Formats: sequence, C-alpha cells, structure tokens
Amino acid sequence: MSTRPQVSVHGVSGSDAGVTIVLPAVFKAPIRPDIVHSVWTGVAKNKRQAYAVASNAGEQTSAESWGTGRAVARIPRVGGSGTHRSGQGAFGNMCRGGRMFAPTKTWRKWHVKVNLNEKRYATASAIAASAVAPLVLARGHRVETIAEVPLVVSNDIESLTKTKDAVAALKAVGAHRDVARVVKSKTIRAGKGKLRNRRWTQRRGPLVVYSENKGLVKAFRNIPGVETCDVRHLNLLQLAPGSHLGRFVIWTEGAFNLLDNIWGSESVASAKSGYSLPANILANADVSRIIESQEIQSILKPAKEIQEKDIRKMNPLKNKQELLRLNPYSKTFAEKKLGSIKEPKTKVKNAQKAKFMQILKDN
Amino acid sequence: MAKVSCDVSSSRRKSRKAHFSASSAERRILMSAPLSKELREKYKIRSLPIRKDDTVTVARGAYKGREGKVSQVYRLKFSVQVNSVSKDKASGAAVPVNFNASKLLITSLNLDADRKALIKRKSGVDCE
Repeated sequence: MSTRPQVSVHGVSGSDAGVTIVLPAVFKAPIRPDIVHSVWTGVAKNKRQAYAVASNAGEQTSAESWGTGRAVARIPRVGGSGTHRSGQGAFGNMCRGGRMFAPTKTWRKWHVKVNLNEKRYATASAIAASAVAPLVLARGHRVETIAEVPLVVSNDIESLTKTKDAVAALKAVGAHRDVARVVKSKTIRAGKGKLRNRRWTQRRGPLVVYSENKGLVKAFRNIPGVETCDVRHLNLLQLAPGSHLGRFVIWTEGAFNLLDNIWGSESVASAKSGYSLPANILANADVSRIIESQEIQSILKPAKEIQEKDIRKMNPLKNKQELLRLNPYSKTFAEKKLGSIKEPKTKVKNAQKAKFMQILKDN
Repeated sequence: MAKVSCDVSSSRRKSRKAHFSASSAERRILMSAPLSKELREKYKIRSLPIRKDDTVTVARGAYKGREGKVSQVYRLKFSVQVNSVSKDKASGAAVPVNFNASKLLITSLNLDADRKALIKRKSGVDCE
C-alpha cells in the first residue's frame, strides 16, 4: 500500500501541466457499496420537510353509529335529516368524506441519524470509487475523452469567472461529452412530480471539487448537470447520487493536494480528529491468483476423487436405454418387429378345428 | 441550475398566477421587445417595453421578415398588432395579426419625452 501511482495535472487549455501528484491515500480506501447504500439511504432523508393532512380532516361531523338492529353496517353515520349527508357513513377510511387510514402527522420521524464514522467510511469509499474508470463509466458518465481518471486540473480553473470560459475549460479537458449527455437527457418527469415543481429530470454531470473559490462556483453554476463542491465539505449525495458509486469528479490541483491533509495518509494525520482511513481486509484482491500461487498450491491436500453418484433406478419398460442395458437383444427385437409377427396358421390348428366342427355336426 | 435567490419563487403555480393576472402596467414590462443591433449599440439597451408607433420587424413565424409600425399594443391579449400585417377573413374583412412582443424586433423607436427619460434612466444615454 505504500506505493501509490502518480497522477498528472492537466492545464485549463487541455495541455499537460507537467506536474505530477502522488495519488492521495483516500483513493485506496475500500470500495464498499453496501456501506455507501445504507449511509446514503439515511443521509438522503435529512433534507425532507414535514407534511401531513389536516389533523381534523374527515373528523368534522358529529356522526355516531346506529348500533345493531337496523340492518346497516355499524359505521358511524351523520345525524339529522333534510340533507343527503344525513345517514351517510363517516369517519372511516372506507367512507366517502371520511379520514384516511392512519392520517399522516407532521411529527413523523423524518430524519435519520447516521454514525459519523460510517458516514466518513462511505464518503471515503465514494471518493475511491470516483478514481476507478470502469465504475465511473458504469454510472453512465462519458469519460472516454478525458486524459485519465482521476482527472486533476490546474488551479487556474478556480479563478474562472465567466461561464463561457468554464465551458471552454470543460471542453479542453474532455469533460464536455458528459455535459452534452446531461443536456440531451432533459425530459419531462413521469408522474405527479410534474405538478409539484419537479417538472424536469436530467442526469448528473461532472462534479468540480475546488479548494478555493475565486469565481469558479458562479462560472460553473449555469452549466447543466455540473456541480461544484469544496473539498472540505465533500458530500455523499454528490459523490454517489442515488447511492451509485463512481461520480465523474474533476479535482483542482489545490483540492487534490488537500485530500491527504483532510483524510490522512501513512505519514500525515487526518484533519478530522482521531480519524484514520479504513483499511482493506485483503492486501491483494485477486483471489484466483492467490489460490493458484505456488505457496498455497504446495500445502494443499490432494483433491479427493469424486464419488460416483447413486444410480437411479429406471423403468425399462418406459426408458429405452435402460431396456437396452438389461436386454441387449431388445434393439434387434424392435428393428425386426419380432413382437408384431403373427404366428402362421398351421395345418394342425385347421385339423383340430375341422375335428371340432365334426363333433358339433354329429351331435 | 438551482434556485439561488430566496426572494424569488420558482413555483409554477405562482409564476403562472403572476403572469396571467398581471395588471396592465405590469404587462407593459412583460411585453418587451428586443432592439435591433444598431439601436442596441446606440442606446446601450437590449430590450424595451414595446409602444405604439415603434417600427418593428417580425422575427418569428409565418410573417417572419415583415416590417411595419405597431398599430396597437393589446395588453389584454398579450399581443401586438402591426399595421402592415393583416389577414383576410372568409367574409373578406381584414383582421390584424397578433404577435408576441418578444418575437418582434424594434428597428426604430417612437421617442417621446417619457421614452427618452426611460432610456436616460436605464443606460444613461441622452437622446436629446
């Protein structure tokens, strides 16, 4: 684990800036989709706002049950006369004008507490996954045109103030295909969300992570799908939208350099007090190579011979192969159709018949 | 892009209500038209509320390219009528065609005192 690959820094104009950075230690954190998913389901709930039906909805009549003996259901019924409403069922969730079943309340448990260490584990996992090209591609990002994953861009990108320049920078580093994908994906939402101010859906594009905002946020905020985030406040909801690992992240050089300070490495302590990155259980994840290695193979017991399975008894009258096994002649027997040959009429038989007829006559 | 200002609602219901129940004075602003390139350069203004007697070019639709003078700004209908563009009814009578103000291009302004003051206020260009 001590040796980590070098990542080169790319200029805003797309050229190689000629600087290389050692990959921060967070990128070696274990990628755990299970932890990310469980943390994500908790964290994603923390932005919810309370809603409920009116507390007295469907309960605003003085209805009472008629009791038994009137040959009607014992549901509370609206009293009085002179209106259609009188005598109609009320209150119950099965009644027209009744309250709903288990009316929603504003004091529902809207938010979920997630353990801090778990949240950090998930975020570290998501960061590590953002540096694995197959995972980024699997999320749907178009990163075929970028120079390398993770993509680090020089600090000049932080001082862009014009959206025009920001778009040019995205084009230069090859991230524009992903933005084009977002633009193309904009469609009207299916379902009721349309009526609730969530009219359009679109994919998520690259996430630009910076260390210092010198105009970058405003420059990038009107580009569809592109989001920006400070390295110190990385958010699982942005790093793994929908809990799907492998967001396409564009790091600025400053942000990338800060990662070791924030998350810690072998030599640097993390800025999060008392925190150390989760370690991999396996140093080498290539299990088949481990099994086939000389060291393992030399101490393995010889493989056991495979025992013959119990033979299942077949019905030879139905199963031809079984029949053939028991009676090898059956094949010839069937081919020659020996079973359907009629016995030739012999003279002996005729003679017997004649003799019998004679006896009948005589009698 | 996410909503930035908390003073502005992005609710569809609220914006549609505001648009369709806008008063005549508010509709004046809503019925703004872009200025031609020359005027834009001259007055340093991109668009202005359209006014009767402005000269305009139709920029969109079947009448694209037609020029004329604004004969009426019909705020109730959110439409602008141009004197040179009309349609014949089946009975033979001519009816004016309605345009959305934003689909017209102002090529010359009807400069009265109020308009001049407006331009002065907006861009500081003195039209006197």
